Amino acid sequence: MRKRTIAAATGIAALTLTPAGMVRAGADRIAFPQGFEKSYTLYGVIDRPDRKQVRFFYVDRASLKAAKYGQPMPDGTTLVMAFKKATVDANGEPVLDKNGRMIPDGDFTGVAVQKKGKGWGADHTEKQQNGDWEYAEFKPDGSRNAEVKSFDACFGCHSARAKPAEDYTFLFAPYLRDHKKG
Amino acid sequence: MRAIAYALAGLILASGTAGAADITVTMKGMQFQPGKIAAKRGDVLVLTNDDTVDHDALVTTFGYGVNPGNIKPGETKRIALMKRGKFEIQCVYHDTMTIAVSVK
Repeated sequence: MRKRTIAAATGIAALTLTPAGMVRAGADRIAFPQGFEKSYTLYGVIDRPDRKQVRFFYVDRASLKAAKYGQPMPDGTTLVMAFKKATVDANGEPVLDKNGRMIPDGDFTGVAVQKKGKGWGADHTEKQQNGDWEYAEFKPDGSRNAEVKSFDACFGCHSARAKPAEDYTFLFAPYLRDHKKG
Repeated sequence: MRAIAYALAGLILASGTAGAADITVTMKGMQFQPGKIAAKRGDVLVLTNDDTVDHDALVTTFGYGVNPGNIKPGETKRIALMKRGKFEIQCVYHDTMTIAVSVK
C-alpha cells in the first residue's frame, strides 16, 4: 500500500515536471531546427546594409514540396531566418564582393523561426493573431534567445501579409510564385 | 552581375558603369511612382518617402534580395541596380505598393 502511494506520487510529479508532458504555447511550441543549413532549402538571401547584416532564409523541404502558390502554407511549415554579420571596412561600412553583394562574416549570429501549426492561432487574441503561425528566436547553439522578451514585432510586421496567398510570409510566397507554379 | 543596395543615404559604391543615372521614385498615397521601371545596369533608384507614414523597399525576388530598411516620411534611400534581370520591390508594411524593375 505504501509502495503504491509512493509510486502514485512519483507519477504525479513526473507529469507535472516533465517538459514533454506540459502544454506548450507561443514560442515554446517551436523547437530549434537543428541542421537547417543542410537539411532545409535556401529560398532567399537579403542584404541589410542598415544593420550591416546578411539574412539567409530557409524552408523545410517537406513543406516546400507540399506548398502551392496561392494557397495557405501547409501546417508544419517551418521558415528560418538566420543572420550573419556583414564584413565591414575600416570605416565600418559593408564591403561588397565583385557582384555587389554584401559579404557574410563568420558563422550565424542568430536564428529566427516562423512555424505554422494546426490550431496554434487559438492561443492568441484576434488582435494579435497571424493565422496559425508562431515565432521564436534562438542563439546559434540552439538555445533560446532569452534577450527576446516579446514577439510583438514579429506578429506586427508579418500581419502586413495577411492575404491567403501570402500567408504572413514576405519572401516565401513570392518564391513559390516565381519557382513553383500551380 | 551585381546587385548593390544601400540604405545609407548617399553611399553608393563606384561601379564603373558609364552613363549611370539616378531614377527618382516617390512613395506617396500608398503607391510607388512609377510602378514599372526599365533601367540599365548601374542606374540607381532614389526612393523618397513623400507620405505621412513609414514605408520600406524590400526586394523579394530570389537572387536580388536587399532591404535598405525603414524609410521615414521625408527620408530618401538608394538602391543601385547592378544585376541584370527582372525583380520586384514591395513595401514591407503595405503589400499593394510594388515596383516591377527590369535591368538591362
